[in-house]
Amino acid sequence: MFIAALDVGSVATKAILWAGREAGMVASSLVPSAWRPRAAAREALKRLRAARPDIRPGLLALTGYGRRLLGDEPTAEDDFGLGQIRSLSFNEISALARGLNLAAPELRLILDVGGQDSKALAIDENGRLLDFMLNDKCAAGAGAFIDGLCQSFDLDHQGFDALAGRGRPVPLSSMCAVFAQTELVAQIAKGVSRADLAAGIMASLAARLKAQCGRIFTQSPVALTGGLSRLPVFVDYLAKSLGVPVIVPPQAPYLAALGAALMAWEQDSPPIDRQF
Amino acid sequence: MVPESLDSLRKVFERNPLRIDEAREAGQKVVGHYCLYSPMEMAVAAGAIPVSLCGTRHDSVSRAEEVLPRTLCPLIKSSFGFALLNSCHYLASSDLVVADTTCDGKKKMYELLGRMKEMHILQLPQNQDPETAGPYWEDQFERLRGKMRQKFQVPMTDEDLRRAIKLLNEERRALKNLYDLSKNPRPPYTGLELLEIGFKTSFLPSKKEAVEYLEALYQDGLEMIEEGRSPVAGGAMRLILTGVPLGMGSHKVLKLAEDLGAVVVVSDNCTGYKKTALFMDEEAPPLAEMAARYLKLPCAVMSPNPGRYERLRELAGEFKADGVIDLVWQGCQPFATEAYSVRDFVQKELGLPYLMLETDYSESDLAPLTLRLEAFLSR
Repeated sequence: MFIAALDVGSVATKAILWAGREAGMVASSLVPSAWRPRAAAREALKRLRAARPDIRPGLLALTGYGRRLLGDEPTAEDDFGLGQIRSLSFNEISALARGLNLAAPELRLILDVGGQDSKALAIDENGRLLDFMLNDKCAAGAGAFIDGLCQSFDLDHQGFDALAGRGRPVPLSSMCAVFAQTELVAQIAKGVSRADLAAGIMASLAARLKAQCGRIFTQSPVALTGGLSRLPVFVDYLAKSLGVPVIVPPQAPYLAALGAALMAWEQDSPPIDRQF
Repeated sequence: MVPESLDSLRKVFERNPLRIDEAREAGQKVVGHYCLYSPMEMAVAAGAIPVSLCGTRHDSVSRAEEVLPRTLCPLIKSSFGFALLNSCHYLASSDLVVADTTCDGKKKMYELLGRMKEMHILQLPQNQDPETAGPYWEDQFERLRGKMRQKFQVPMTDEDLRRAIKLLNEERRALKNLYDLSKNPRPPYTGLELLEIGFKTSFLPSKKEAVEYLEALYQDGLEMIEEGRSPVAGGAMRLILTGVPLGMGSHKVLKLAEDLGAVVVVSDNCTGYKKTALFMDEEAPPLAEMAARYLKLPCAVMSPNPGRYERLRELAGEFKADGVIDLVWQGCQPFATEAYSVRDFVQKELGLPYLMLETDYSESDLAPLTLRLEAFLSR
């Protein structure tokens, strides 16, 4: 059976078509959530269908903050174009743990820097959670912090990352998404270059993440997932800050969706089937 | 189905403000208290009604933030907001407020509260050394007795104190019996119900009445166990809720955890099981005994605070806990800092899963809290 899995994040909605442990992911799509989770989910699934019109999934696995908005009721044809399909919903922390375990079984530590939160996970050899930590009640240390600054710099994420790669980090103290702006204005007034500022922002974000996750990350290496894993300069800063190798696993944006698909499959299959 | 005793407690509680008014009209005094370190025996010995005033509701927080820093903990802001809004019947009814210098936020707030209410502040020592802190703390209690004698024109003899100790011991015994029912594999009450019971019985005008309710609730609980009835699903994850105090209105984490299928079998905090630790020797010299018992309360304001760990070990064993949730109010530096050591202790010494949750009284973070709890409980 094919399973469609949706990970509705605050910034991006990820969808995959999964064909079981052996065949794995056969299609994937990623669209901006843009505060319209239902529309984003619909669009992501539409792209999956366009990629593999020959496949009709038999089950829909949901994860990410938007999973509740999509509801637990069987999804209607007009909504997702999947026909009457049963949906199962999973917590994104557990889903990410299982997904990484499936994609890169040798890794035990995960740092996921998403739009609204950053998560540090320690898992065992079966992908079960041993411990985890999330950032507290604010977006400092999460992608939203970089988002706001990209706007100020008038750059997209890749452009901002590239700019940071050309600079030498200036020390910055503020990790508050609001107060950082004030501090940056003061630095600009002192004549600090944009590249040095961008580098400083990456370095301070990496330091913040180390402070947040240091206790969980007692071994190495660390797998980095979430939107910021697509920024190579940031990945370098993070590795320096954590003092351990940082690996961006294959299929990094889709790991939570992958984990949700796996859990949906387990929940749906009688135990005997799972041996194969 | 809710047992009759709980139903009747809920009904009497609805009328409780009125009953406090009636008692006052009949000449009784009311003494308000904040932290558990302030001994309610004094009020009882003075013939007054002791009530707890710690704010547990979010609706008074924003008014408090017009005066207090926003970064203070919600408990302090809620409490102070009630005073500014004059919206807490128990505070308004208090003829005297007894408080202690528990943490920095509270003691500075009390200075401001003192402009509105008559206060007596106990200077709480910061460690529990019986040799140095003990006599000092006992002297603080003696001064409180002096204050109440003068204020209420009552003798407050040692014999009066002994009677008060006996009465409050009865309440502690009844509370402990009730809480201990949760040691059962299928507890007769949820953690939320026990919180509600502890909260509501603490405001009743008579301690004797509170004991009667607690005993009736205990009997009903026993009956439920015998008949195999429980609001808790078999196999529910059994949690210790440790950390800051909570009440009705600031119960969101407890409720969320139980809505997600777990059960809080014991609340290791000042609004829960910690109260039962104050059980006193009724024959000992009362003031010294009270000082010794109260000083031992294992709050994070104490430095060091070894009692917290011993207690967690005992509770984890007695209540067969599967995990520990450490609740910290945003801005509570003592509990937030101590969480580091508690995590180490719970994970390494007790071998239990541990989750620290830092939050306030608002509903704004229900989604992220749910996410954390779901992941924690799914292990």
